[in-house]
Amino acid sequence: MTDVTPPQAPAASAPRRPRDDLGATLPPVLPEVARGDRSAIQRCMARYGSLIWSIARRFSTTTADAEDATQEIFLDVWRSAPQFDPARGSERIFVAMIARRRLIDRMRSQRSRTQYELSGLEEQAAEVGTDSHVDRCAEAEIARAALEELPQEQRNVIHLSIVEGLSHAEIASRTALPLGTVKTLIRRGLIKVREALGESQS
Amino acid sequence: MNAPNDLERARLMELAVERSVGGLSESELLELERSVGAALGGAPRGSLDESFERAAAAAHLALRPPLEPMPRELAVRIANDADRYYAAQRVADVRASRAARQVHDPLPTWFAWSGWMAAAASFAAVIGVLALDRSARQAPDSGTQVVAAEARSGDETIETVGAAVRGSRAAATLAPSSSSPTDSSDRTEVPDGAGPSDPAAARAALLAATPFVLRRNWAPAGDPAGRGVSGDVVWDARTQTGYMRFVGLRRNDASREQYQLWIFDGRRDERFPVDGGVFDSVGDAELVVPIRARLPIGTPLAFAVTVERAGGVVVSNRERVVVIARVS
Repeated sequence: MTDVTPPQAPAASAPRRPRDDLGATLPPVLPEVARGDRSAIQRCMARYGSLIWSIARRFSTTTADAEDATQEIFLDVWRSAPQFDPARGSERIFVAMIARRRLIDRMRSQRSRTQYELSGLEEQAAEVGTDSHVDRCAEAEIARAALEELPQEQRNVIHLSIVEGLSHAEIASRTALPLGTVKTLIRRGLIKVREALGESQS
Repeated sequence: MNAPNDLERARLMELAVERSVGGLSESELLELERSVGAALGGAPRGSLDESFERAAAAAHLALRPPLEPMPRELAVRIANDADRYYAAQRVADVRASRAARQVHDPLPTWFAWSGWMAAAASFAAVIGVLALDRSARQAPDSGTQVVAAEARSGDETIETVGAAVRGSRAAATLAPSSSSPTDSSDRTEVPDGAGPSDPAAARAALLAATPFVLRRNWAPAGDPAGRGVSGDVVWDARTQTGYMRFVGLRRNDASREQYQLWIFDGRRDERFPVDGGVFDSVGDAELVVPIRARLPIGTPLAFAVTVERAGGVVVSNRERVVVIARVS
């Protein structure tokens, strides 16, 4: 189990505005990256390299493909750095968004990806939040709390979709759930996370 | 602009959720971008659905995927990419500002074509080197070799850009507002739901139905392919649809080169116009082509057609600008 303090329930009146990664211990690096600061670029790579690489690996069929994707993602990060606004969320989420967006675009263009071997995945998904390798950020903890309120089956589906990058059809095939059910479970789960993050107003 | 009704809003939400988990087809993505553009008056991509992308990213981190360290060789390549990216950006900024000062155009809002070219060329050089970096990965002996962009001729660089685009989409990340090139068959089709299959009829219908549609005539821009060309471009900002009409546009060899439209958007970086799609001319007296802007257009400043290699490019070298239609 983790030693994470459970997040508080989101305030009803004001959207929750997450704080920085790992509390206040790591100031954002992207503003310096945006200025082309070389040491900041290195810190950015050190801070997010494993995260981006690991996500890219999950979403890619080959190591070469993952490497291409990782290079693309970092270029996106350099390019998007000026748009990072700490008031809107944590830097880690911002980077993860960039990574996911790029990988999803790549998947859409490729469509010919082969499936990963997913043995034991359901058991892995059942233990939400027990892996301690990922640095924590406030939004992730809020999302974790929201996900833990979901039924196990729904968590598994969301895990297969979000973490493994499987298509809805692939998830339906793997879980023997109707395609429409898969879509509904994912949609409702994400809406719940979004609401927990205080972003339902848009 | 009209606010979306409940059904449209529900559909937008559905599309936004699907986009955040990669469930959108190309046509659905186009539908989302157009819907967002229509609902928000041409706001940039992602304005409406970012909250779901944020939620998906938060859920992703919450689910704690196991991490593994990035390979060192890859980290070196990325560091080199960063060096070249920021070096090229600085050069591009300097050249663009220098060129802008030299342009004595009576229309100050015009986007300093030469500056744009200079900036784009710098980025193209970076893309070319990135392509070399990628190929270097496949040839381990040269994997650490750094090739200076300045050492390459313009033609070599542009061709390398082409190779990069054909081999990978990495180059697309350097062009903020241009879509990634795809195969020509994809680019020449009318997207699902984009309108009737007869572009001329669709254009006429658009003009008839929409009183405020933008319409500007083409002007030759110096390339031989543009000599004697006339016609116009029409654009409906509300529906984000438009058509190009040409009379006398020279036939192209689609296996070697294609025409490509670029849209300069006042809401975006002027150095990086939005890719409006590639198309061919068979030399008919009149040609009508639907515009395929992959990104919502907020305030169109100009439309320009260039000749590019088959399949289109991410960043044009602007060596062959065929026609231009200025909006203001």
